[in-house]
Amino acid sequence: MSGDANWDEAMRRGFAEGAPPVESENELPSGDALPDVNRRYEILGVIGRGGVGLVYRARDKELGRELAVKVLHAELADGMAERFFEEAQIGAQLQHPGIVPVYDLEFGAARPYFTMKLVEGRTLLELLRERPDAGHDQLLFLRQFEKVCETIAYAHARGVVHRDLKPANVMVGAFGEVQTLDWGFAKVLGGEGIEKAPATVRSQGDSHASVVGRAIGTPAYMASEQALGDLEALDARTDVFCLGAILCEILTGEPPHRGDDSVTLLKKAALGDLADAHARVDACGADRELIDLAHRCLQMRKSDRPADAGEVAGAVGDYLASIEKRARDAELAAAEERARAAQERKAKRLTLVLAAVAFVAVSVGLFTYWQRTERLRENDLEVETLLRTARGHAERRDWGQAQAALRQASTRIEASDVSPSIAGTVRARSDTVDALARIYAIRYEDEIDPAAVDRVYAAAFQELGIDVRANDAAAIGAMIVQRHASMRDELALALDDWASRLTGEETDARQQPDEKTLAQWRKLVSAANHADGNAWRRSLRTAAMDADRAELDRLATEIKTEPHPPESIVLLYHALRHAQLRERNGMAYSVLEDGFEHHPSDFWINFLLARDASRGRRGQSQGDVAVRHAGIAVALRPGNAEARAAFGIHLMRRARGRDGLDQEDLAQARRQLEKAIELDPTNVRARCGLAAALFWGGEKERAEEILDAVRADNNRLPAFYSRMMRATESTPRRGARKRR
Amino acid sequence: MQKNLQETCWTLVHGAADGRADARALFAEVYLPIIRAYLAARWKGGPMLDRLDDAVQDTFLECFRGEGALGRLDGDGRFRTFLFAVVRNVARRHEERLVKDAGRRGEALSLAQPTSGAPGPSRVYDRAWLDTLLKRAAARQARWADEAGAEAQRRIELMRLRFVDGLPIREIAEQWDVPAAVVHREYRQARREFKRALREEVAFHQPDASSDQIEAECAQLLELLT
Repeated sequence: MSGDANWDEAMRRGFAEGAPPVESENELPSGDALPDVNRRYEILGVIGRGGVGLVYRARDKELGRELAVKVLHAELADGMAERFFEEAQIGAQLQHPGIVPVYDLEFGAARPYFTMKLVEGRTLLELLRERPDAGHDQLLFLRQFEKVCETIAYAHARGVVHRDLKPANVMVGAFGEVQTLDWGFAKVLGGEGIEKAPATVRSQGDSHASVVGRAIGTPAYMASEQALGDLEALDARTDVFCLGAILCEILTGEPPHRGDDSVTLLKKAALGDLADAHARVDACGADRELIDLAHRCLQMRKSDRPADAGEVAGAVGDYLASIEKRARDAELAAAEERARAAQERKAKRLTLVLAAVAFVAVSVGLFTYWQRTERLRENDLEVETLLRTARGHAERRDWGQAQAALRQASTRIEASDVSPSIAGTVRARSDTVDALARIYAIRYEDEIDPAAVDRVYAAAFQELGIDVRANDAAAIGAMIVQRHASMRDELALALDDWASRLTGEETDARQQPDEKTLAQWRKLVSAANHADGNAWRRSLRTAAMDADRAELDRLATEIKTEPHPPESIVLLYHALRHAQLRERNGMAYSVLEDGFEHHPSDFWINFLLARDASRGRRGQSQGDVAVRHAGIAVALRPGNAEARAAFGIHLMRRARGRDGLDQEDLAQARRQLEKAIELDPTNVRARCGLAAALFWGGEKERAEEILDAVRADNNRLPAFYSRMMRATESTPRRGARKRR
Repeated sequence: MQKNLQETCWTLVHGAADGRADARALFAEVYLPIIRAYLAARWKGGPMLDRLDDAVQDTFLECFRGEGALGRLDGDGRFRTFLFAVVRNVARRHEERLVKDAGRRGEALSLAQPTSGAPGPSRVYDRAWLDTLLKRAAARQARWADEAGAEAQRRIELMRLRFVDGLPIREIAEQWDVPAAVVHREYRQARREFKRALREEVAFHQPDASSDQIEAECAQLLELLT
């Protein structure tokens, strides 16, 4: 056998709380003891022990439902039967959701029993002790506590006091339903209906089992009057103390009375030693309302406690309502805050969106502006480049190329944005170049009649802003100098050309001009003299105007030995031709030949040499000279339609020699004329020359088509072309001619 | 006339096997905690826990089945080992079934989650067995007291004051307002009664054991308390 220590432990375990999990045969509701139980109810097992009886889970075979059967302890059958009956009556009479309803009572059996609703769930004690700390889920436990208070308040209102309120006697169902159990020690106050209280009993610690003892209740939760066993003093305020004790455990995690054994607890309860409990309640950190309520309930003197459970329930309800109100207020405040924040966020978002939109708009605007500016800059650069190109061509007097560059610039301006100032420059430059081109074009014409020359030159100068007819020579010269300084020499030479054509020196008319023509001649030469910056040319013009032949001869001799610019040579040529109107112009031609020696690459010298040579003034052999110089002129200005047209015509003239039609010259003439038309589709000289070439080549229909188109464009053909056409009628015989 | 279920554990078992509802209810009440404690310890933290109730039910059925474990006994065996063998075999069967099911699904299965320091299931079984016997012994002693009268009942109260409330003999004497020597004498008597009640319980489960064997079984059981 083991030692006494093991036996002590064995006995402690044997008598420990919960009692033996086994029941003796006598404790089972046997057929003899409880015939009704066995007949109607099938016992399924023991649920627990109450103060005066054992509770079984059973099945009602008639109604097919499970229920609880409470059977009076066998050892209490005599003394507690009445008490047991009273418990059943209380359970049956107190109709409240917080009280387990009693279905049936069998008091006549050997062992009384009653059936009641089967309550499944967990006790408040279990739930409280599972908390990690006292503050855990406190609101939930307070709501359950409120239900207990309401249940007890109902009982108090019905004159019933429970007398054994503790967390172990509160069952919390799975759905939150709260029911107060074990009304075995309950008492009906005033003695009405239910008889006097039983003999003193006591419970075993926290266990459900109760046996005969000295006091009713559970020491840890007991009021002073309970611990003292003063049964007559027990009333609703005793339950109020127990409610305070439950509240104390909810708030602090422990009941008001703490101790190692029941005797200690009973002593503390009897003495009303609650200092520790109040201190713990004060330190629990709960809201003041709850602390005050716990203090009021846990008073030693009954008169200091709330009158009944209704008052406690009201206080707890008020507190929970205030909490809910606080929660609602907080929620409302939070909602308002959220709404305000949302509004602010919305406003911020709107601001951000607007800012973003504005930013995007500005960015897009800036980008577009930048892009446009960039494009504008690029376009300006491109147009300026074209302007420079045109200027270069103009400086080389290559008006065709200059015009082409300016046309390209104009096209660019029409197609895209260009700075207005540059566009204006292009327009002005185009007008000027067009006018100059026209002026120069006249210089190429050697068969134009004086009236036409006068009209075309006047219009061209008008386009340059110089009204030659309305102004005197000095004013014209001043306007040229002021407005077209860079072109003053060219314009002066143009005026020289205009003057020379008025007198017919460029034609074969060889008639003495009338006074009016001579006066105009003098005005134009004088205007050229005002415009020209070259002193040698001014003296030349003066000599020409004074008809100072000696001076002209001197200048012609001088030019052979002294180098002069090609413009001066050309001017001398014109002056000599004017002076030699009725003479042969051999000197003038020789001046060009001399000039060619010094300026073989001058366009006008070559162009005029070709023209004079082709006129045959110095014999047929000059046809080759004309073609040579015309070829040089084309080489010098390949983009000049007039030069090409002249070259083509010189070739054609050479082809139409006395020995027949030179097909090689004719083909080359045709190519040059086609090229001239390509360069300037409106060029009458080239179109008529091509028509003649085609005619002579046998393509009469196509030639006629071209001439019809020229007539349609110009009303009538110039005399030169008419002659050219007439000449076709005497086309030499066809056949190869040997080149000389 | 019903056979007294309290004669031996085997009369209880055979009564249950014969279909007596009271015997089955009593059997379940007495041995359910032991069976559950063993199975819960064996399957602690593992997937088998879901089958615990089924296994308990199977254990009961196995105990009551005439051609089962009960039929293979001649009535002389120790009930403690008999019940242990039954519940262990039932547990194994359930484990094998679960493993087979898992294997069929291609799953790996760990039946138990061993807990360091925790007692093994057989140890848990023995302790649960001991607790049951101790509580039954206390109940038996109380029953005797009820039959014997007030003095015996007073000794039961003495045992509860001493071992539940933890009161020393002196205080109990003060409470009862009797000399401590009187309480000491009553206390010794109560202890003897408890020891006798425990021996009765052991004898209930080992009907054919000698007194020495019963003493040895008691000692062995109490060793579990150390």
